[in-house]
Amino acid sequence: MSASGTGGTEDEGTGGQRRGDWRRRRRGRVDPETAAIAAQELEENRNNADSPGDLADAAQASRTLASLFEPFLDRIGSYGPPIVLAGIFGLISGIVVVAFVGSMRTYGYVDIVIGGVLVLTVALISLSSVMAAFLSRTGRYGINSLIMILAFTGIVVLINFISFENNKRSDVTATNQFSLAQSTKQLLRELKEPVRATAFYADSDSLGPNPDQNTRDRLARRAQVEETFKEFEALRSSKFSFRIVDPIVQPEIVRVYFGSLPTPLIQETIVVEGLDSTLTHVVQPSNINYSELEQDLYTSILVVSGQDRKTIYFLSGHGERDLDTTNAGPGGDPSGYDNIRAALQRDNYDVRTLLWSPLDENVFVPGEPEVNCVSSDLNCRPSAAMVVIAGPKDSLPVAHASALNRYLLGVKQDAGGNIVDRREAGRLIFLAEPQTPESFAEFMASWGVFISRGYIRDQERSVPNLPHTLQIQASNPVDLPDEVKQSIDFEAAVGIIAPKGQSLGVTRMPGAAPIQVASDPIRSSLPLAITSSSSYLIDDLNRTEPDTGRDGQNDPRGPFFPVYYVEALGPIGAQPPTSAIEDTDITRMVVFGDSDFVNNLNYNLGSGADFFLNSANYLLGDYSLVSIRPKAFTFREFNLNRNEYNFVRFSSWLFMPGILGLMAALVWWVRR
Amino acid sequence: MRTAQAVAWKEIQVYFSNPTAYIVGMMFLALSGFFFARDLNDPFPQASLENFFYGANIVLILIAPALTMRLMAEEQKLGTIELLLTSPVRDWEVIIGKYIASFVFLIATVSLTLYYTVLLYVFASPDPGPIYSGYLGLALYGGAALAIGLLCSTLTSNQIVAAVVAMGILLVMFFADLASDNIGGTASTIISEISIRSHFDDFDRGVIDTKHVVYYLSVIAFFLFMSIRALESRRWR
Repeated sequence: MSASGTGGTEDEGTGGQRRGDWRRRRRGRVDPETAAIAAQELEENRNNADSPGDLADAAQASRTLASLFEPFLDRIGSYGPPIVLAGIFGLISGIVVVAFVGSMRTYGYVDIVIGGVLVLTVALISLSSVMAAFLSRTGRYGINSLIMILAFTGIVVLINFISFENNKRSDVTATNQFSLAQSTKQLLRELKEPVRATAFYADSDSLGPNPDQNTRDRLARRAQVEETFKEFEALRSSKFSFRIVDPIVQPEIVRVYFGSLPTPLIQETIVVEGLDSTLTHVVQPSNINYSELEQDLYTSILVVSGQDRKTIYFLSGHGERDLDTTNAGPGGDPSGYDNIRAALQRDNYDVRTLLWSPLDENVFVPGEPEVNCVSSDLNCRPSAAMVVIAGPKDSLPVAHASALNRYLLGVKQDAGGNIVDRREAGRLIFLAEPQTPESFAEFMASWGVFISRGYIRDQERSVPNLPHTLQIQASNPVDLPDEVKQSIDFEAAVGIIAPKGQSLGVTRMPGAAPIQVASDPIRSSLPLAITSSSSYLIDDLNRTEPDTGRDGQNDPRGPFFPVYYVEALGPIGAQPPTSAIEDTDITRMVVFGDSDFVNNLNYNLGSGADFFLNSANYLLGDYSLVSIRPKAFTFREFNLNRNEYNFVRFSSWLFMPGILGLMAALVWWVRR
Repeated sequence: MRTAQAVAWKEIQVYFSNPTAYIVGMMFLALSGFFFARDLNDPFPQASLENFFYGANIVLILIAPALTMRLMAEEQKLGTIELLLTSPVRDWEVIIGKYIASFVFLIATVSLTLYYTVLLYVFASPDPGPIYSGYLGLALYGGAALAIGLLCSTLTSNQIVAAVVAMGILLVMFFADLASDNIGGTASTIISEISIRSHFDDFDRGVIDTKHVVYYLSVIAFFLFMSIRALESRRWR
């Protein structure tokens, strides 16, 4: 701010104060001709003035408006350094706030503006000093260096940006452990919306001094998950991102996906979500060690990005419920399934009818090779992820039963009629009725599921004035009989009855048949609903009061199970497998004793629709849309006995450092 | 370039005839040996150099500044920088020559850790891929750390100040990705990409990614360029 050394003069109007730089520059820019005219005018004014007071007034009148601010600007200029420091601080803090604190971005911008104004004000007041600094030899070189540094930085940033977007990865591990399949890379590159995977792992899963095997396994699985996520994310052009969330520390994130489900059930869960579509899909690992996680993530990404959907086929041709019959309009049919079809489609499933004519013997569930259909043909039907048989009224031909058997077993028939392995065993929802045709009942019985003849009359839990209609509550596994608890699959119970920690409400089932499941080594089952002990099985639909007499003709008494979840490795009589069982070998089905509870009439009554949809979601949760060969992982152990261990340890600590220590001593000795 | 070679050769001779450099190398080997043998007592130790590479990353934060702190700061303190600047040597040749010398010494020291690889091959059957990629990553990481140390040495005549400032910069760059975990959005991405450590992870696992190679080469080029500019500024400051 000092004016000394730059030729500053004294001003009459300011009583000999030192002038600020800005004024000197302003005066210096006045050309001589203008200055001469101004001096002449001033002289004329002096001559015309009657008194000294008039002279002062004239001088005052000759000043420009800006000169009125001179004392103020001088005062500001005298505080230049602290103001500049404050301005720089404002600029930096503003940039930091804008960059890192999204919620305070507005304040950050205000901060930047204030900082900029402060710096600019001082720079303008001290303009000549600033200009002199820039125009000096040091200033010119400094600017030159600054420009070079900025240019070089820009080039470096640009090169890095280009290399980030066009990177090439080379997996040099022996088993190509970190290489994604070409199809996965393609999928990730073609993602149209951002997709995020969230894995729930508690941070407390640290390796203590003596970790048990479970902790080790869990940590290994977590590492596997992170490695796979990193590979997915490493494709920079993809829109995939991931996060690892501690469900204990961040319960609010858990609630978004799982509601009030208890934390222990969330552990090790992975959720994939489309950030634009808001579709979510819980990844169901095909293998407990996550060796097929790439395939599982692929399937989930397909689902949430809407690129592919799991296809559900409703069997037709045997008097089953019609998917397209609506309840509305003059021709409306309350027994149709239009509402449940729409609900499944809202859950992002592809719902189709699988029409098998009773006379057609060449039938199969899509997934087996179709005639005149190559894989690239858009007319090819997508493989069945699940089949629904809803309230059949006509008989099941043998050829049809055979096709269903092949589907459930997970085998298929090739073009030559040979049975070859299919990828996964089938999933089935069967909605029975007390009058289910014998052939269908026999087919289900061959899989160990027995549909009783007659309907359940529950004296405690029937809808008032509708004695045929059960009001059933989803069973609480804890309340089940001890013999049932032995084989309980709690995961299934939670997945169907309370998928988000919220138990199902009451389901109304008009005329439901009880279900029983055979007990053998290749079958496990779980009743999903239970009636009261005051329920009876009545074989005459026209009779509403149970026969409780003691003449031997009385109706069987409950409790009964109108809904069952069944896992099987084959039909009745099949040999138990001798090799290790994969998840994909297991046939899964949910069998309801009623098919009316989700028809258009009852769709909005009670929790029937949720019961059905939860069952479909659970059965299809682990169904894979693709098959990617799992990576071979070789654990290379470094097992040492006590002597070897000591040798490796001490030689690592002492041998090489010792050599350099000796060298240091030798050099010191020579140079000494 | 011949002049740069001459500068490098002279500096290499200084390194190998100086007990301090050997002691710095000894410290590096002792600490990295500790990391290599750290998990050997576990129930299922893995035949890999993962622990060593992880430890070497940390140790280099201390060692690299110790190797470079002398390079320019000593010249300035003793006044020999004036001779250097008035001699027919370009600024970049001085910087590149000194950098090459420090890099050669670092590689020589790191090459002694191949002893761990020999141990692995004697007592187990390691996967060679991650070992190759790990050493490549370590060379790039070390090169970047040396470039940062050289810049700090160019900026001051005090060796201790040069070393401390270099360690500070390296620590900030090392832990930058941890800070990015608490920040969202683009800023998080930028900060995590600046992190010198996160770029090493892939090398450690057995994956060579061109973007990581470019990153380390960029860091080296940037800090060497800054060093050249800093040295050049002595002519007009």
